[in-house]
Amino acid sequence: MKDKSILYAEDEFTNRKIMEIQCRNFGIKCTLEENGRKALEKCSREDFDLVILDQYMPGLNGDEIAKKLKKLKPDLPLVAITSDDSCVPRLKATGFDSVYVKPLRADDYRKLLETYLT
Amino acid sequence: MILLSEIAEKIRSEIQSWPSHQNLKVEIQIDPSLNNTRKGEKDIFTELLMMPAGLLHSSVSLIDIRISGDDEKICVSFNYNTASARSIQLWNNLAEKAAAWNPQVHMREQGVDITLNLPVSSANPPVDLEAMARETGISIEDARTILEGFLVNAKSYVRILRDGIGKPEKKQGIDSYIRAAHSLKGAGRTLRAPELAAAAGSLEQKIRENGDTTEEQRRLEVIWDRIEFWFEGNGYER
Repeated sequence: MKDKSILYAEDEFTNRKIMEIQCRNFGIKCTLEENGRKALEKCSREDFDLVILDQYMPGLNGDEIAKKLKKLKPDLPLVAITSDDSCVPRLKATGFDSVYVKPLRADDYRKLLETYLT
Repeated sequence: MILLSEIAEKIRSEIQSWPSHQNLKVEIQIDPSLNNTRKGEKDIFTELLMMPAGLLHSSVSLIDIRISGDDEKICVSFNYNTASARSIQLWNNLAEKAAAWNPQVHMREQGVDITLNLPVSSANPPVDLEAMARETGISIEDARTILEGFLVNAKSYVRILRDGIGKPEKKQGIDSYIRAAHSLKGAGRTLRAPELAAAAGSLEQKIRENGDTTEEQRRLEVIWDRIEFWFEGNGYER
């Protein structure tokens, strides 16, 4: 997974930091964004191997970004992370390749990153 | 350990996610004087309380759940606006699982009361640093760094909620209060701080419903005080 790059958009500090640490441990370049709109701008300008989106964010929510990105970059893998397990089916229908429910555990991080970056 | 407020939040979100009960309004009230922390397996307790809700006839449009009791037992009353509670008799199939709690079930025409021996548990630390490190696969040193950052961020969320809700002269807007409560809920889950997650989750829900948040804010303040004292006692600056 070394030399791969991801973008993780998440407005909550602790989740952002844990993903950053996981990526560091796997040797993955991790770009962090706190705002949905800025995350979309960054994804439009730069190339990533994987984009992980929190669902509920300032600016734009994860599903709104996903809809736009699916048109711009249809082959880019998109993963949603949400704290609301009742919205998993809706997020999957939006076009996310996977949906994870918080809090993520060590195995979830490993599976998520290995699935799309190896 | 069981946190009554956490279970209540889980039940509410679970019921409202069922396609057959999308229009069902769920009101859950916990007696504010009741100790929130109880001995026992929370999964079994949740299952027991979900069972009566799962058996409701589709014509029911409102379920009102009230949790009361004392330090030794709790009483959960389910009240429905329509239909009968006959199907609730199926609940007895689950009673075996709760035998240690000596369940007493009282049927009423439009509801059921369940009393369980559920004594108060000694309070756990409000943040479980080792569990967070172990479960997320990060080092204790990294977990400590995250905790320091959390304290700074969480303080600002608590301040937004404390200063803003219910004060029309403040112009932050309801969305900022929902975000603040939502972020505290998420951080609480990540940090393995279930009381914080439950209190913030209840508050977020109440703000979304545009309801009276007095009780939820009081509960959040109580747990936030505990967390701040815990930080101080563990060598973090408040």
